[in-house]
Amino acid sequence: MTTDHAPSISGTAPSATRARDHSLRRRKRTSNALVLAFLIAASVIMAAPFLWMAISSIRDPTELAQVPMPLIPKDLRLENYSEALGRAPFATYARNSLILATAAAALNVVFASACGYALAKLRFRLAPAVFGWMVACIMIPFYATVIPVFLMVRHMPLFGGNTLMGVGGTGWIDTWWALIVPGAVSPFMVFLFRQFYVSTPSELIEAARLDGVSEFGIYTRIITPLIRPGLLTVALLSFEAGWNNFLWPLLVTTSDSLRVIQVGIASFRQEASTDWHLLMAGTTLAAVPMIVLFLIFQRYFVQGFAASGIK
Amino acid sequence: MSLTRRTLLAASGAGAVALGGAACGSGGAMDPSVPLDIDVADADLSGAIGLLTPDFVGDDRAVLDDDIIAPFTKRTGVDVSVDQVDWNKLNEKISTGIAGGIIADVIMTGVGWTQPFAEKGIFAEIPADFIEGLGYDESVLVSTRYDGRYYSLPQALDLRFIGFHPELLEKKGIDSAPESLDELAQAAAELTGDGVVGLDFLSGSAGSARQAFVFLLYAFGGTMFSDDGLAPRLHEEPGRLALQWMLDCMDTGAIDYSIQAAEGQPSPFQQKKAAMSLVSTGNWPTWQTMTPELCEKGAVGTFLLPSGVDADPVMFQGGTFISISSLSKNKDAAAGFMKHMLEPDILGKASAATGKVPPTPDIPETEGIRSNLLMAFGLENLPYAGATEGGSAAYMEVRSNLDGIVETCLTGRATVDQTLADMKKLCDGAISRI
Amino acid sequence: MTTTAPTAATGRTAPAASPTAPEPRRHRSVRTAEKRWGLLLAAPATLHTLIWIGAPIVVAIVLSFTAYDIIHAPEFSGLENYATIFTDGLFWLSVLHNVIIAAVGIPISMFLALVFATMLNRALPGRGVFRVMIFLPHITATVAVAMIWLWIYSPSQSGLMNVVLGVVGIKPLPFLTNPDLALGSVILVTIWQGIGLKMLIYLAALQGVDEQLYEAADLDGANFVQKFFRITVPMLKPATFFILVTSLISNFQTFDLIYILTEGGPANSTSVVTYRIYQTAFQEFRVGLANAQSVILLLILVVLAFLSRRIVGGTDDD
Repeated sequence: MTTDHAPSISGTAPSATRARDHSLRRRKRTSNALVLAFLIAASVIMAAPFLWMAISSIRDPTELAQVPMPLIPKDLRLENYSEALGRAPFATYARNSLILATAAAALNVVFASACGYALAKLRFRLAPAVFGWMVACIMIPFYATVIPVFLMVRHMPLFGGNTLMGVGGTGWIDTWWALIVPGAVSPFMVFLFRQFYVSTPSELIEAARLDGVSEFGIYTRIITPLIRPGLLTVALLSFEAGWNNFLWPLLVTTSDSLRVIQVGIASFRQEASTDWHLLMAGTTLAAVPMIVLFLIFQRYFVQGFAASGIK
Repeated sequence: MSLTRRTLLAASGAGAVALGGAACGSGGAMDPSVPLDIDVADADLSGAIGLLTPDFVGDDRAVLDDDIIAPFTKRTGVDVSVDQVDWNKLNEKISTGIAGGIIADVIMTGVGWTQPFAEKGIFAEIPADFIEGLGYDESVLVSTRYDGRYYSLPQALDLRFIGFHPELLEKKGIDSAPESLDELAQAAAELTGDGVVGLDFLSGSAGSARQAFVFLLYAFGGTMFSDDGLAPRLHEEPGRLALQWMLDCMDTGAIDYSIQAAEGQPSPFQQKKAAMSLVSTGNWPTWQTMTPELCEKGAVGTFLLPSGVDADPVMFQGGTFISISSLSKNKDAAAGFMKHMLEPDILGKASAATGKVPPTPDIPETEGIRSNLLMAFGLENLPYAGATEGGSAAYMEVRSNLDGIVETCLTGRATVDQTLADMKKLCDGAISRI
Repeated sequence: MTTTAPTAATGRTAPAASPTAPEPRRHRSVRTAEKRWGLLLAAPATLHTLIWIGAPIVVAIVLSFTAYDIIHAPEFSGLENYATIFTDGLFWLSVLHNVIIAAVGIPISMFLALVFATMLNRALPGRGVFRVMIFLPHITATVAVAMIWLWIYSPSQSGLMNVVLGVVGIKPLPFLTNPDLALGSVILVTIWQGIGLKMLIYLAALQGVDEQLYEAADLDGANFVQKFFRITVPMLKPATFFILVTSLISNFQTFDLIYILTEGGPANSTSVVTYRIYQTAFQEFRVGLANAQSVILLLILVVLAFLSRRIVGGTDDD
């Protein structure tokens, strides 16, 4: 595992090269075939849980009790979906998740890009401090601060019947404020935006300044359009984080009308208890939107994820 | 642009003070000392209430919606929205509700839950003359009181005892019910073999490891807490005997820790993979749908858990209790709904669905109740239903940790001595914080 | 694939903002405007993080020195919470479980990710499809993932895992209810879910590896395994460290999976730090203690981050 053992590169006699090329190509072909077979097997195993989810979601529940259970369901039972939708308001859950995820995406694109731009392109006294702070924030897991954040939301002054001192009522608990505001700016997105902006040419800014374009105009009209793919990446990553968020919505929402899809699935599990065909239908509903979004915008997701490393 | 920025900045907390006007008032002062007004006329009820319940899961939910809530809504015009949580998640659901200040108006909990939440001021007091006028048995009412006042009403009892397959016992020549825990252990050992485990005590089809321990604790003459609930008792000699009894049975193979009741599948006892088993009255509806042959007369025998100390046998009493949140902003409707839940025909419908026993002195005569043989046995032996959980305001904290402690002992990861010391430490700590 | 994205993985971070140009006098007003706008644009995000990340840390530290049950006002209790944690076997058991999950799960998923990445780094038919299939577990919400595995691990005869075992002739295993199996079952899910992201980072890094090295090795008659260990592994050292660090950090944030799959049981055999904190705060109402536990979690992560910075050293200019 050390770098010391780099392969030695030696020259070969020209006469031998052609024959070698030939055998190399053949070897390459067989090794490609082997690799392909391995990848097919591996990716089928990786995808098997999803297939199982999909199969279970259209299975007739009576098949589950059969011995042995047929692996492939005999017929396609889409009624499972309508039944699941009838048992729990998945449409409301999905709408709530959509609002939450869209808000997270929009707010991050606006505020994180502004900050990222300032850090990358504008010289101001606090810039190094702000940048250091953001990097430090990336390291701080939400789970370590969730209780104080919960208490702050609960004691938000003058909301939900609270006094100026933040007592007496419920603050932002069970409101959209609580769902959206604490996650409106992610320090990681600021960092990501800074990296995107750094790679844009500073000469454009200078030129625009000479042309008398305002600083704000340079940010919004000249430079930001250059990182359009970056905007999409951040929007998608924020959307994904919002859609898949669980603990925070679990803690701050109580009413069914504010419940998001992941919390909805977890609570549906308790209602439907052992009706796995319905549970898998519900789980499919929660998982598929993200999968589809990923398939469409794969490129942008990949860019962001490769830089993040953190789910 | 700068306007929206300022608005959002404000929303981000810095300027929340300035946004006071946008606040939507939903905070209620909690004052548990004001007793409920239980006698508001139906016509004066309005609005909507929330119900938090761990019961009526799966197919039973339709019974709750259509047969229990719908008539109430029709009569009073009050909408009831249901929030269902598993028994395992009920405590944290209530707790996060308390932490956030928003909680369902009507809350259904279990035996032992009333005192902790009454102590925290979460449950509203229920007028004593109303409850005492209902004529419930004192053994049931104990679990509804804290500090001499009432904070909950029993809606259903879940009685637990031992069930057995008569033909399996006959085959081994066992023709009478065990008179002591030693005899039970011996019988279980004799019944073990040929793919059959003697006694299914821990598979979860009738309660958790924690409840199995508490049941035995009482059979050995112990209790969980002192009478005033301020000192633990479960770590004393009966607790040691209870743990040791289970460990000994596991040594002979009579109890198998690794058999588990799979969700939605017949339990080991239903599949006749266990000769004897802890059963609860709530198992009946499951038996009816999955293994109806067990519901025929004589198909399954029952006896109470014999004593380990030459005393009377015992029955475990779990149950579902209704309380009203002191945070409720519609206490009248909540009280109206609580009364509705206790009407004989509603209790009968609930009982038919859940298999649990109505707590009232005059049991409604419905087909579901008449045909439930487990319930009949439980009711016959109600005076023996002395094994209950709780009895201390510190119980909720103990409850959430006791399962792990008992399981740790049963899986050989802690000795009996360590386990008892852990129990004592857990209880002492929890009691010191009330 | 990563044209504009500067990935820390490859260590190819773009140069930091360099001073634009020397400043002639006529541009003094421009310079002032730049300063003003810099502050103005950075302010909302900075304030937001100060309020929603900075302040909570302060609150957590303050509350960690109190006894607080949410219902009654917090009371100063000195170091009592930390003393409690010190002797709290369950808390350290939870830390240990995080360590075990990391020690077993991360190397395995990293190795598999590297294998997949190396294979996908060549021109193969259906490359994109494989990549998507391997990456899907990461994009899916952990709640949904946990639900799926709960069903796969079901001890009933219709649980997929036991169906598969049945084919091999092994009788059904109680994956999540046996304390000897539960943690392993959880680790398997973390491996499955973790491969995708690690593979992506490796793939990005592999594109920075000079093809000529492989061609030269081919000429030397090196086989696949030799090339893998002699070229690929050493060249990917920075990416490997990056993945290791980020995986360690996200490992200490495992919560959803445990919440759905095992609730920390049986016999506390799958309790992890975040779940323990959640239980302390929202089941036991010991909010002061839960905050002290959070502070410990924070310290663990700071140490991890510090160590990683020391190890990764100069590969990251930030």
